[in-house]
Amino acid sequence: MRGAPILGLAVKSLLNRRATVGLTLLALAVSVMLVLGVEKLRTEAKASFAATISGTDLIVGARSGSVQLLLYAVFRIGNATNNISWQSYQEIAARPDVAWTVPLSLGDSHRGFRVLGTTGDYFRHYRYARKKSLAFSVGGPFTDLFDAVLGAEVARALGYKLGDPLVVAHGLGAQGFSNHKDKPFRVAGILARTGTPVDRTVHVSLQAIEAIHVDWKSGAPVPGMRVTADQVRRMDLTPRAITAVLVGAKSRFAAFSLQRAINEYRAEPLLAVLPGVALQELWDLMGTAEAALAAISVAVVAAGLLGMMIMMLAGLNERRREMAILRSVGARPLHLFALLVSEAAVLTTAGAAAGLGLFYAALAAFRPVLDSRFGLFLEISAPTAHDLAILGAVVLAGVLAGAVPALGAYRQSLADGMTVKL
Amino acid sequence: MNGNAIRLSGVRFRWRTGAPLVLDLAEFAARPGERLFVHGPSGSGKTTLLNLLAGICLPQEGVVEIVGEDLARVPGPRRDAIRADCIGFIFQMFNLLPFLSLTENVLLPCRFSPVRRARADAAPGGAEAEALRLLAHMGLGEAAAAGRAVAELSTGQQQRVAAARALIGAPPVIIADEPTSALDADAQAAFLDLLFAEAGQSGATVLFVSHDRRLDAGFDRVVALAEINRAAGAEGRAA
Repeated sequence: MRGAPILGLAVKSLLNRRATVGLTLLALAVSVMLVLGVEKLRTEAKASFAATISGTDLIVGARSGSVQLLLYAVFRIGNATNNISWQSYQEIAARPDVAWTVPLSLGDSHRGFRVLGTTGDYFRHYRYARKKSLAFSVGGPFTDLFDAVLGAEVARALGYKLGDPLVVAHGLGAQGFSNHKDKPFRVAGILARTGTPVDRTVHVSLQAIEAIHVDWKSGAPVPGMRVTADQVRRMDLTPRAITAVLVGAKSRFAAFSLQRAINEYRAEPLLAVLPGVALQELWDLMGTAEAALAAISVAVVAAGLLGMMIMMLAGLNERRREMAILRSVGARPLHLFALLVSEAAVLTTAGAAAGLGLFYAALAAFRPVLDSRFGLFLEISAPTAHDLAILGAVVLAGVLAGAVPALGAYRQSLADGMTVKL
Repeated sequence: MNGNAIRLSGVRFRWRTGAPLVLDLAEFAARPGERLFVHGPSGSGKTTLLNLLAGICLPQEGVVEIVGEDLARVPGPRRDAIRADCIGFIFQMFNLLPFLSLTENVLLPCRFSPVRRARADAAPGGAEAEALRLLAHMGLGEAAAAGRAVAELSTGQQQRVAAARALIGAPPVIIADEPTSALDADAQAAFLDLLFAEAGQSGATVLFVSHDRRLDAGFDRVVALAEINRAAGAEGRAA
């Protein structure tokens, strides 16, 4: 006759104060949902981030920072400060310890999506997640000069089908006012969804990039110079420069010596980075934001618990009669302490459970948006041990927070006894 | 039962050392089954006497015995246990917890006193049936069966639920503090009749405290607290 009767009273007393208790519960639930959501985003984003590129031993670009190189070459964010000459690329590709190379040429866009000039080797050698290669959902790699291969998201967002024409804009404006409309492309293939920046890329051949810029100079069409699409086919379209190169080495060990050789390349200042190292470096950069996000969600939980504590403390005075009645029927001050701690425990447990429910509801609701807009695929899975630990910590913190008003009730009942003067 | 249900002897109480005496009783006792009317105007030490009997306050000197146990000489948890096991309280008003049903309110002491729980369980049909029986006896059988909420009851009905609660598990002592002051004259008489009938059945001592002397009919003995409390006189004169 100790724990259970007190718990029963706690639940009934809480139910009696539905309005205030309900709001407190909502605050707790929302804060728990937020913590779980941030945690989910953090782990999934990190996993999806690390899965962006795999199987590539080195990324080579003009000398800048490794994070910058990774950003423009892999994530299609920002711009290259400089290019690599075709000559240097040829020399790197010819080295005996190099197994394969994929040249990348960036700088144009199509309705907000980056256009990437590359070769057919891109579709053979690019790997993401656990060494998964790119797959075509329809069509295939480019065969004609003006063929384009679309990432899954590009095709979905713009509604392109196989054979549709598309015009590449010069530069990166969403609707470039200067574009290459004299040389339209044709959709030759659409890639299957990868959950990486590949989905948001329009792929064309290196020669095509060269072709649309034949009659351009310094970012503008040369006045009076007109080269038609048919004429350009008969020209030499070997690029003079490219933006970056993905390199596969013959062995893991060869990658390191290759990296050093490229970094010490004399003819041109180049930079070769190991993708894994650069990814980690980039993630560390975001670590501060990640930690700030986690700290904010913890603060929100603390605020929720504080709200509960305030509600209970404020309720103490109006519940003096209730406490006095319990004392008169034989409750000890310790029972009243237990009553309030039980209330806090019930409230935070219910808050944690409701928060978990809200979290899954929000996950189900926002999953499609996160997937299509940000390429972030969140799996609906059972709560992890880490999630359960978070929930446990919330309940424990709630019980501790409840001890403060409980101590108040204990003291008050000692002072009031059974007689309360109203 | 041997001896007294309640006995106070040589009790002196002050709120803190150096403060004036509030209660100074040479001898005060009630026999088992006795119906005692304690008459006391405000300032006569009524509240203090109740707090001493409940073991909420302890006297600086003297003995406060409930069914033979001296509250001043037992540890705190035991005092709480004695209160739970041996005393049923009825207060002036607001006796009930609004979030419990009538039956749950009546059974409240059983949550804290295994002794009273055992006695209520031993009644025919168990504790629930005993609570319903007491409520029915108080004329509240229908209200309890209909699941009426505490807030829907009149003050008189609430006081009768409180009486049923004081009686559940047959505690040897019932202490009623102005339980009828919020009732009209007819309801007062009816309430006392019910209380006496039930207390008589369980053999409980009834200590009825009131400032209203008109209620003393039917009691075995009437005690004026102001006369036996040597401290109250001084305070009364000062006030």
